[in-house]
Order: sequence, then C-alpha cells, then structure tokens
Amino acid sequence: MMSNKSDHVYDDDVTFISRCQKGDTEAFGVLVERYQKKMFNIAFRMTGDYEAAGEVVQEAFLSAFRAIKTFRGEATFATWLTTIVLNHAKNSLKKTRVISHYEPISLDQAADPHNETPRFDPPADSMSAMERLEKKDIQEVVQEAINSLDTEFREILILKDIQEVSYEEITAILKIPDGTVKSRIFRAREALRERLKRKLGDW
Amino acid sequence: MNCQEIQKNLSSYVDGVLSSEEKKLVEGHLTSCGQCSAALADLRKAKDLLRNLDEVEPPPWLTAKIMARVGEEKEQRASFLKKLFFPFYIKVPIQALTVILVGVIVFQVYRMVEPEKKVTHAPSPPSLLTEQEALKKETPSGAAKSSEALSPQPQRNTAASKIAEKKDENAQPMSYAQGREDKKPGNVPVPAGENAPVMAEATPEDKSKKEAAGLANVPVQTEASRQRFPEGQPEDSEKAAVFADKKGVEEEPETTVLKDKITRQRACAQLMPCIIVSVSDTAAAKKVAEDMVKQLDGKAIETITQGTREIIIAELPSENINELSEKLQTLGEIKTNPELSKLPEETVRVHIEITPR
Repeated sequence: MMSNKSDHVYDDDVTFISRCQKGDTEAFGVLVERYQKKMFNIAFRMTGDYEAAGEVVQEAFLSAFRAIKTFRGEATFATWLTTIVLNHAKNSLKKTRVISHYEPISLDQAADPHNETPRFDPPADSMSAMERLEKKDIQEVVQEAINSLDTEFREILILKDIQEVSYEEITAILKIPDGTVKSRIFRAREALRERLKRKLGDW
Repeated sequence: MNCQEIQKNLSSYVDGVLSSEEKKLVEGHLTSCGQCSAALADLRKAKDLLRNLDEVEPPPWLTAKIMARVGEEKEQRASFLKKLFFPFYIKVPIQALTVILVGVIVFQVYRMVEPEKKVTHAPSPPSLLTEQEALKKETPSGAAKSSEALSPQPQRNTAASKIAEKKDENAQPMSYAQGREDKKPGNVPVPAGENAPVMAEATPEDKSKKEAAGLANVPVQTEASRQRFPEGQPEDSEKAAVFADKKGVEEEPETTVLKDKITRQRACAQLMPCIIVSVSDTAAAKKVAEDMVKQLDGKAIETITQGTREIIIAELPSENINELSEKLQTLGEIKTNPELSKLPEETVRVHIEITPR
C-alpha cells in the first residue's frame, strides 16, 4: 500500500476503474482528480521542471485512459499510474537531454573552481550553508542535486524518500527484486549526499 | 563488520528494514565509530531534506486539461468507429431506397407489359381461318406495299402454305392475335408493333396471294425492313434467288420456301437481335448452339441451312441473351447487331447465324 504525505489510499478506486473500463469518462475524471497532484509531484521531481511535469502528467493520464481496459488490479491503481508517470518522465528526460546536450547544467561542473557559481560560495562564517539558505533555496538546491543524479537513482529516491512508498510497492513499480531496491536506495542516497556536500560544502 | 559494510547497511538501518541481528551489529559499531556515525547523520539529513521537500501544487487547470484531452480521445475513437460503420448508417438506407425504387419501376414495367404477354400467349392457333379473319380487316391500300415486299413471289402451293402456317404459329402469334383483336400498335413492343400493321396491309386479292402474303410477311419483318431499309428488301430477295440458283435448286416448292425463308431471315437479321458466329464446323456448331439455346430456357423456332451457313431463329428470355452470346463465343468469333443491346421484351427472338470461318 502506498503511504505518502499527499494522498491517502482510496478503497473505491476499483469501482471507478471498472466504470472507466465500461466507457464512463466521468469515473476517470474522479481518478484524475484523486491522483493528479501526487503524479504531478513525482513528475516534477523527476523532470525538475514545472512545465515539463504538466506535460508528463497529461500524457501519462492519457496513456492510462487508453490502457485502462488492460488494468487487471494486480497492483493498486496508484502503483500502476506511478509506473506510467515514471516512464513518461524518463522519456521526457531523454528528449530534454538531447536538446540541452550542449548546455548542460551540472553540479560536477559547479565543483570546478573556474566554473563555480557565486551563489554557492563556501561559507565565510560559522553559519552552516543550510542555515544561510532560505527555505526556498534549500528546496532548489535539493532539486538540483536530484536533477544531477542518474535517472534510476532519481526515481528510487523520489519514491522512497519523497513519496515514502514502501519497499514492496517500489518493487512493484520498478519491477526489480527487493534486494536490488535496497542496494539501489543505498547507492542513490550516497550519491545524493555526495552531491549535496559538494554543493553546499559544510552542511 | 568493517566501516564499509556498516555504511552499506546504514540506509536500510535508517529505513528500519534490517533484521534485529543486523540492527544490533550496526548499532554496536556506531557507538564506537565516529566516521560511521557521521555518515549516518549525513544520511538522515539527506533523507530529511528529501522528505521535507514541499509538495508542489499542480497547475489548477491540470485536471480539466487532462479530461479535455481524454474527451477528445474518446471522440476520436467514436468518430473512428463511426467511420468504420459509416456504410451502415448512411449508405445502406440509400442503397435500400435505390433497391426499392428499382423494384417499383420493375413492377410497373411488368404490369405494363403483362397484358401483352397474355395476348402473346393467348391460344391463337394460326389457321387459315384466323389468317383470313385478320386479312378481312386489312386495308386495300396495303396491297401494293405488300406485293412489293413479296418480290420474287412464286407459285402458291400447299407445302409452302403449311410451312407458312407453322411459322405463323410459332413465329408470329402475337401479330395475328393483335390483328384479330384489333390491338393498337402503340401498345405493342417494337417488333410486334411493326409487324401488326403489316398483317393488316396484306391484300385479300386472291387466296394464293393472300396466303403468300401471309407467308412472306409472317415474321412480318418484311414490312418493317421495308420501312427501315426501303431499298434493301428487293435486293435481298434477289440475292436469295441468286443464291438459290447457285445452289442449283430447282424452282420447286421447297426452293420457294427456302427463298422466302432466306428473304425473311435476312430481313429478320436486320431487326432481330442477331449473333453471327464464325466457326470451322458449322453443322456441329449448330447443334451445340441449339443445345445452348435450350439450356437457356429457349427454343429454336426454326433452323435453316444455307449452304455452309446455319441459321437458327431462337426464342428465349431476354435476360439470357447475354449469356447466350457469351456461350456462343466459345464456339467462335461472334458479331452482334445493336438490337442485341436493346431488349425490351421478356422473351426475345434472336437470329443466330453460324458461318464458316
């Protein structure tokens, strides 16, 4: 079961799904209303772009609508939908990477002293970097750190640490074994910690 | 467990998914290892940072936009289905309407034709009596025309008379019936319509001539052909005569009949639907052709052998005419006249000429 901060689990999803499967568009509307925020947040954290997230979510819901008849209820609707959103987000990232290939914004480059951006100057006083940053800025830094991760680290951190999805659920969404989930979470967190350290220096 | 192994397990430790044994091991190590404790602190910090990321509010229009696109999608799918079944919605009614319309027209035509059909099949054994009856009604003015048409008119004889009667019976019951019943020619389909007045024009000058007129005109195309081909008739007759001479046939009753037949058939050929088949073996082809006619619900009314040529006058349902010509095509190259394409009647007479290649 998905336990996350933004949405609760809806027991009557199945009812709306079966109505959808019979061609009831309004029932699909209910599902969209229920899950659009959660899916938008996943998409936003994946893409790091508000506009792109909107596109991803629209496409994902359209895909879900087209494929609703194939939904057999083996997983929850949220799980099924999350898989679709992640796939669309990954596709969107691939496209964006191709486009922005020659102008990458990379934290690795930021670590280079010649390219260092003035915004993340090393701390000059006893205040930690975290303390100096406004909350909004912290959010931005964290998102940038996420953006710099590999896609598979990104998605697993979004699921585990942002959406707080259970291990079992992650196994179902990403279709990878439990052991792999654990080790990937570990590596993803390590990578993130490293990026944040590099970004913020002393945090 | 060294620091590296401990740090590997820290992630699971944070999530609380380690077994109690592993947990104890990790916790034991952490109390004594500052580096691993710092790593744990970092990990928790990172985790907290992620968890504390604010939820983003999706654009307010997102649900509406999604549903609009879903609606479009559904509409497109519906219109695709509509297109797929379009014929059933629109075309079928049109087709059905057309079929009904055609049916009504056919029925009307059938009703128009039916009375004549009855007349056609009315028992009218064409005897001399009927012939005479018919002739009584004829106008004297037609006499000249009639005799004109009779061209090389030989002596009247019984054989010819009999044949003539027979022909009348088979070939032209309609015109007789019409003559008798004083039908308006206007009601009569084309060939019969033309034939009827001809009968009326025959002169009752003398019995022989009368009957000869009957004979010559029986299939009455003489009159018709005279109308259509004013010059053609005598010429044809002459040819026929020449042909008869060539054949060395003496001026006997049969010859006369033959000449008449030829004359008439020639005339016929110009009015009747006509199919000329070029074959190598005319005699064999004739038999085959006769069989074909029978197969197509028709009957050979008359067959004539003209030297190497075979002529079959057949009567068969008009809808079978095309099939007949197709079948005849299997015998040899065929030529047809325009009459073949305009067949108003239910039963038509067709002139099949089988000529050597």
